[in-house]
Amino acid sequence: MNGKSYSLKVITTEKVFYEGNVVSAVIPGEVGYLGVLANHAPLVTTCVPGELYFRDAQGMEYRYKAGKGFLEILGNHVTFLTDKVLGSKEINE
Amino acid sequence: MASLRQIRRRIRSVENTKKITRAMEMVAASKLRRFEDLLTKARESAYFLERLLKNLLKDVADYKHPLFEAKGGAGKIVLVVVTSDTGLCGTYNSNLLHAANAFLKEKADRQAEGQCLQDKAAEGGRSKQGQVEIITVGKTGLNYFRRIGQRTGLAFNEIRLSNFEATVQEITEHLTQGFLGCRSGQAAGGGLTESAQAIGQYRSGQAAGGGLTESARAGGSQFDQVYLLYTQYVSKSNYKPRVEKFLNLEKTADEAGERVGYILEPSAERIFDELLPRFLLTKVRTVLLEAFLSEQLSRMVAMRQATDNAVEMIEDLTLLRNKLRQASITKELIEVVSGAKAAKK
Repeated sequence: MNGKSYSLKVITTEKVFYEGNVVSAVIPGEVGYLGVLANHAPLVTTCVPGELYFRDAQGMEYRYKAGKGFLEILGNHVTFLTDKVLGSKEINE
Repeated sequence: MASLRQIRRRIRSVENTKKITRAMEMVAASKLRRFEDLLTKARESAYFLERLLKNLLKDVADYKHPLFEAKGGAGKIVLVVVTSDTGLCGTYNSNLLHAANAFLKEKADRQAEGQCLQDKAAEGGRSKQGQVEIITVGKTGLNYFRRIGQRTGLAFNEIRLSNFEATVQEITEHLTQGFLGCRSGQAAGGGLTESAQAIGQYRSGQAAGGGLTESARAGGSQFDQVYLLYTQYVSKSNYKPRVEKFLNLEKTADEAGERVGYILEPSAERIFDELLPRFLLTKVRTVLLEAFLSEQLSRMVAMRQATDNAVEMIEDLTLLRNKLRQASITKELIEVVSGAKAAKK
């Protein structure tokens, strides 16, 4: 897959759930789902429970259910802190 | 001089002690590893929240949140002392309690100064002065403060891994709600939502006329400041008692960085309402983990020392035993030889 990648970190209260370079991510923000690509403007939002999706540089797709949380986008570093992440389902393209 | 038999018995008893201390050392070491693991993972979110909060505060410097509000100065102070449940951990508890006493003394001194001024100004507010309430975590602290007759509030004992998260929530809620002065009657377990509710109540109370602070103070459930006293874990060879201010939150005057210019969704208020309780919860969690880690570390070191001492003692006693045995053999030989000589004559 093409497109610039950026670093995504998914942290739960207990551990770092995912850390790596992704091309795109969709995160359940409080005011609606947020699609995040590289070079996003700095942003902080609260997140509601919902579906978390991201695709890494190799084209692997990940879908999870995430709990309440926080999203911070700062430069090309995106950090998503959430209560818990459930139901890992990886779709290999 | 002790008899051979007595020395043998002592060697055996020291050996048993050695076995016990060695076992305790190993138990502490395994617990240590588990807590260490938890702490490294918990620190990840703690660092994130701390950094985020700092950045946000730079962005919205003028924003006022109830948790940041400094209360009227010399009101009730709460000190949370994190000690261990069990003993045999070297100087861990005594160092902590020493620090606690220093803290109490310092506050009492400041109180005394304040009192003089207060007396001149007004006589009414004096009863609220100089109260430090102590909340203990761990039995050692509780027993100690009871013995010296210090007022203690809630006590949290026997925290294990199974009830760790629940206790962390309970402590955080108690402190947050006590600070805000809105105690909801609900049972523990609501966690973040409950703290958020407390913030909401506080706000609505203030909007209704700002009298809530006064009424809550009259109710007596209000703390003006909350401090945590725990053993900070820096590294395996560096862990020491530390007093940290927990509430009210203080803005760190970090001039170095520039504003980030975040887009805030949906609003600064919502974000702070979500972020701060979570931040406090994480803070309590890391503080407790650090304390437990230090406790196990301290116990491990103490037990290793005890084992080493036992080994040394066994060596000394063995030497003595051998000397005594040799002496008795020599004595018997002399007796046999001299007996034989006498028989020949």
